[in-house]
Amino acid sequence: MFELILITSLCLILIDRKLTNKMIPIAIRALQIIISSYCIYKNNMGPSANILGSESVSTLLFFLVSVLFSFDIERLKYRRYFKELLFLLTAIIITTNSLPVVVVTTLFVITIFISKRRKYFIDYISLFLLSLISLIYFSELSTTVLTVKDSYFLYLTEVSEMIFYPLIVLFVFVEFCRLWGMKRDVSTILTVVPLIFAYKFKLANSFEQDLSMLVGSLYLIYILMMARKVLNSKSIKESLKYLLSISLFTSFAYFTLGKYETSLTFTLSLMFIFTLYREAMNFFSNETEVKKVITFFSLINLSAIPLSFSGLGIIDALSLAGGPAVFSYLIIAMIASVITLAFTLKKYGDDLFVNLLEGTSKVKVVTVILFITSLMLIFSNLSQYLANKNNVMRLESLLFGSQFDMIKNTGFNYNLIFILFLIGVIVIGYLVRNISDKLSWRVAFNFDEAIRSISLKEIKVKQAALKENSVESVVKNERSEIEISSFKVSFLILTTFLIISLVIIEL
Amino acid sequence: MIIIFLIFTIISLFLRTKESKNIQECIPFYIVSTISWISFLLYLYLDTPIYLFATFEITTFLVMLSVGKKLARFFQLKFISFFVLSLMYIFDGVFQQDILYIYVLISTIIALTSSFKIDKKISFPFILFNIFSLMKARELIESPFSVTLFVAGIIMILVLLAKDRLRGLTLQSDRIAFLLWLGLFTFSIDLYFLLTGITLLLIISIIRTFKPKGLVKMIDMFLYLASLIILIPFLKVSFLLAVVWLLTFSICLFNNGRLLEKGECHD
Repeated sequence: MFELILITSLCLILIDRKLTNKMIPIAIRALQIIISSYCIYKNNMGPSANILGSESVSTLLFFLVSVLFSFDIERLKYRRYFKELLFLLTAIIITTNSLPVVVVTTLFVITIFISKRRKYFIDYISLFLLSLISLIYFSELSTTVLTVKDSYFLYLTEVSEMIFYPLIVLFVFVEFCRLWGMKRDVSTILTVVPLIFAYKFKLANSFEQDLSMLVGSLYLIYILMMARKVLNSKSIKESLKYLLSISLFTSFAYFTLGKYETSLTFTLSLMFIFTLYREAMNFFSNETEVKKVITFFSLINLSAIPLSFSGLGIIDALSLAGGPAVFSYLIIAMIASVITLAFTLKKYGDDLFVNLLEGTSKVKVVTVILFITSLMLIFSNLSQYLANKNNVMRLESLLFGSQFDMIKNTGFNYNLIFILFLIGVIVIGYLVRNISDKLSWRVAFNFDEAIRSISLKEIKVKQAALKENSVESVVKNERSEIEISSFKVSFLILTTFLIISLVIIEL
Repeated sequence: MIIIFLIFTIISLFLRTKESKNIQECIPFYIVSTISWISFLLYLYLDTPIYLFATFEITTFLVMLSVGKKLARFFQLKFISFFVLSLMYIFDGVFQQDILYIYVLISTIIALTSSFKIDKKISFPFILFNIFSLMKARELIESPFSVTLFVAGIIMILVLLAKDRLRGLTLQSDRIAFLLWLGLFTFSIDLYFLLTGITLLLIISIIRTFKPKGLVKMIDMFLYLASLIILIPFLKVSFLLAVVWLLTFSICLFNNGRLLEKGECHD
């Protein structure tokens, strides 16, 4: 299987310079995906897959994930051989069952993304976390005999037992955070690969719920910081990204609750919606009405209103959450999501208006297809409180083959949250509808100022410099600031660590 | 391991030949490569330590006396190392391993700092030869003293990086590469990791000598990955220092990446 992928990729790299037709790479990629899906279906993956420790995964999982990934890869502006390398690496990550291979390939993927993208500090934090994880893993493994087919995990020292699982959670969190900055695109690979990484390590999980407090609050701070930018946003795409980030909070909550499969399925569905939006916007770039319909569909599905896909997911996560911490975080996330949706609809409502009855046949067909798609999404992710025994989380049981024991629960919790939330959404919608533009702007401004006063002073300096000075002096200022600030922070950290380590060595 | 060295020799020959217009310029390079390969083969078929030692010394003197520059410095260091070896007889074999370790240390310094007349690129086959000798010596020498020395080296590198305002690894890449070599020499590393580590270090030195266009910017990344491999056994020595090392390196990578984006690359 991997041999075939490798050979076709090599052919593609060789003919790449002479290609004029854009369809040929896509056709070859489709061929690769179909052939490897067939190989997985027949459970005959060839010698290199045996070396890499690949065992039977569900065909549907491989197909879905690799299709999503290949859409993402084709969008990147890398050279052809980097693209092919990324596809090969992701195919290995999905299929393999051996942990060393997973660690090494994830490290490679992150490294490729780091060296090719615009640099932000958070990229390097995630690289640091991942390399620390791999370091601990391999150093634990090196005391036993290293074979590639290992899929167990041993803790040999107390420190690694304490640190290892929190590090994985932090890594996933940082990866979720670094998806966007409004300037950069959401990458499906960077969202899904860390979750797959954590899923493969699920046996290493020694304690489940203690972390949700810490990481949940971190994520919440992050979402509130993001909200500041959304209030000033000038395009609908930014609020869409923000809604996506809040919906990813749900899958993160599933993840901290120890439900790795559910979290992965949820993320895949979200990414499916987002990829559909992005590709359709490119495909129908000339037809404004179709674009409006698609935007409306993705807005509804990504926001946490009841009866949409992600809203039902968040209610399910709420009723599963035991502790008060996750519960309150999820509720705040929900409210933020609904408010964002309401404001977006209020702000851009006129742009999104389409008269369906008088539209062209293309608009009607697209609308019907999207309606059916969103119904299918909801149906395939029905929670155990809603569905009968055969239909609980259909997609998840298809992808991972997981079985669900029906809890003897009347679903009181779920129904109560659902009804309360329905009422809440109506109230919020009414308030947003009736609030005057002036007041809402003032609230947004105050909120912005409040957050800005908390955050670092250097941002203020930067903005003042931007306003006052000419372009050249701005460039100079920025340079000196970056040197000084990064130097200050890193030097402080470094000196403290040095002192501590010296003391330890002396002891 | 020998296959990796073969591949890198072929790559270096290819790069050197491609670079020069006249093939006569490359002849010293070819000669040094041939000498180093002869000594590789001698290493493979000789097994008494004294013969290995003799092969190493003869090859080093041959290369340095024929094409070396700054011979005074070379002789200084060489005689210090011989003096250290002579201590072995004074102590009557008590600190044998430690003394041998110091000898290897000084030889590594010679290998990395020596410069050549006629053709600067000769340093690559010389380094290749020295790495192979190091790998051969790795099987013979085991000193408990070495880990402490390695820790001291790490702290020195970290201080130097901090003094440079964590701007990038490129400035200190000489010293870091030296430290990574010592790491490969000191710790017992699993076979796969050892091979990967050697490959990475050879890639670093090939970038440093030949400076191929696309890869010059990547040298920091390679240093980072190589240091990851060294840190795997080091993690058992000191967890905290390893974490600090990683953190510092990732900050350096970030700063360097930012600088490169602005087009301010300083070598």
